[in-house]
Amino acid sequence: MATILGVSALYHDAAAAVVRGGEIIAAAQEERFSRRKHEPRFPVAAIAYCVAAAGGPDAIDAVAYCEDPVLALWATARFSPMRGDRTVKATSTCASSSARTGGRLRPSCWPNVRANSSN
Amino acid sequence: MLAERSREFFELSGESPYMLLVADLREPVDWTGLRHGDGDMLKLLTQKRSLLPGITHVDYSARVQTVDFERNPSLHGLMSKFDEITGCPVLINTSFNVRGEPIVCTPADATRCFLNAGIELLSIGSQLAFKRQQSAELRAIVGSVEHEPD
Repeated sequence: MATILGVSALYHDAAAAVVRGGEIIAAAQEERFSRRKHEPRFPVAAIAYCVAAAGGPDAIDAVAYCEDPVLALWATARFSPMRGDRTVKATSTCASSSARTGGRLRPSCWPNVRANSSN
Repeated sequence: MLAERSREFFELSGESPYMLLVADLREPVDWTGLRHGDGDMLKLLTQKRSLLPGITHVDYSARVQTVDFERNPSLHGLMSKFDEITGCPVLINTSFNVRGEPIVCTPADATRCFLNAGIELLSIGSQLAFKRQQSAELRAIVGSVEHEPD
């Protein structure tokens, strides 16, 4: 039975989970460990907790990420023209990107970005 | 809510072990005062809506967690005892944190939150701690953390 580590990161509420044969072995949000509400940073502590619960790194067969990172990067970069050379940095800070998108999960330019990237 | 008694209180056919389901309260619901706020909307909003006012939403529903012995024997035991003493098999379950703070993760987080918030009694595993018995030294060791309002 495949054991899969899932990761969500770099936008808001970074988190990790491990599933095995459709059963959730462990799941955790990074904010619990970092003590920062809605922690967006890469969930190192949450991953460590979930992987340990699954029986260690050797027990993990595959890792899944919550979105296409290239599309996400483009979406955020295109949505913040005022940022200039700071756009890439902005993708890794939850509070600023969340404020710009008005709390929505995706910026309004998302459909265009998707079309451009797949061409 | 003690799982075995949930049907007495809620319109809930199955179980809700992770507090994911909302269910309507069964009778007896206290309808007194409904539509009578004397023009005071706040009064209308905050009026008692059932025998379990602390968990009853404005539409007479509640978010239910059914607690069964198999999954959680200790909490089930606590709630059974509470039921025995009070006749009420329901407790309010709120998150262990203060506003702006992530939910506590470690015993140290729990102790810090306990000492700095209006909590009188802390239970971790088999340990019980009363706020009034805690020393100033412990408060100094644990410290406090400021949280940005969300």
